[in-house]
Amino acid sequence: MSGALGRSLPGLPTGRADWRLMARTARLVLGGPGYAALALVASVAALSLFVLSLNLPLVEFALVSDLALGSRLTILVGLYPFLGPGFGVVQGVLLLVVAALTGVDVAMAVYHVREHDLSAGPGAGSSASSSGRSAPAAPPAGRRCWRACSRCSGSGR
Amino acid sequence: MLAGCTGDAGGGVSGGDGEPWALPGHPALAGLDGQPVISPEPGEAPALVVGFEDPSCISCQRSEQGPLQKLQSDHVAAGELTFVYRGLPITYPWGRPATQALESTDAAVREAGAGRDAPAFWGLKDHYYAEREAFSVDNVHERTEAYLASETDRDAAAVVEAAREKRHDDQVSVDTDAAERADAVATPTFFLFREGEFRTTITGAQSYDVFASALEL
Repeated sequence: MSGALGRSLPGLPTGRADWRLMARTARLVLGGPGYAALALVASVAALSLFVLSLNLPLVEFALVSDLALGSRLTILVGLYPFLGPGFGVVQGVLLLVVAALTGVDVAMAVYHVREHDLSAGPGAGSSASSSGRSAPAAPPAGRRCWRACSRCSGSGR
Repeated sequence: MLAGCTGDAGGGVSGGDGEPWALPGHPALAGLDGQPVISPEPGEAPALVVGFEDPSCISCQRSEQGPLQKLQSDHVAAGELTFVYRGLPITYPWGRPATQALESTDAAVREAGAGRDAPAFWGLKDHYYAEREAFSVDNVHERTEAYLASETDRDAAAVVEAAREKRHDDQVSVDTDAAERADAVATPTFFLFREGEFRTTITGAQSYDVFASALEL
């Protein structure tokens, strides 16, 4: 089933090995404190962008009106799932999952760009082309190569 | 007669010290003198909340059974807050006939000389939220009539007949027009005022603390 799907959707992770590789890569990237912190910040930012955008007038009021700090915080914090009644349990869990996945995605994208020395400069790889299935290049000089990287661990597939 | 109600454009005038205040020229307040109100009258209490709601809306149900009940028990009863209900049936199809039934109930209450805070209207609204999952387009009139007949002294059959014939649809339109002018595009949407000043808009179900903080209650 997954083989047929993989043939019809080339380049997309459809097999069990793909998902295992993605999970392993995410775990190893997030094992670095810097990338873990980045993922956390990106997750909170993604969640905030979503929940605050649903009540922009209220957010503006909380930020610019002549309210006590405690009242401002009460209003802003109450907009988040499980801290206020705006979302049910299922909605809240889904929002947190999406925010967490966004954080992991951002951390992995930043890891990918940094560890592969990707830039828009001439002679360098580009983040656009590197997302394809081109053969992995050698690790750049002076860079730490994580075991999650396919250049160190073979094709990984 | 609304205390200090101008209904026209212009900034709010705060009476301060618990004095009545003039309602500001905000679109959410258009046609307010025809709306069901939990007393005191708009402009008499320091704080005013105008809520656009849909009986079929789950977030409205969540608001009603959480912060609004506490606001009512803690602040409306103490004369610190007025709550105005306005219908905005945009969620599920049965919300429209339910809103028409609410308007017909309100009209019947007024024809009988009762006040805008008469319990028949508010009881029916609470009933819609309490039993929200059980309502549909097919049964909303029957269940409304059953509730009014058993829990109120209104002529349930006459009220539901008026709702079926959409006799008070113009009142529904007054609310939906006001919502459109006020940019209320989701339910529930609450417009918060204090002593003649528009404070902010709250969309969706929010906690009692959010209302209390924004209104400085």
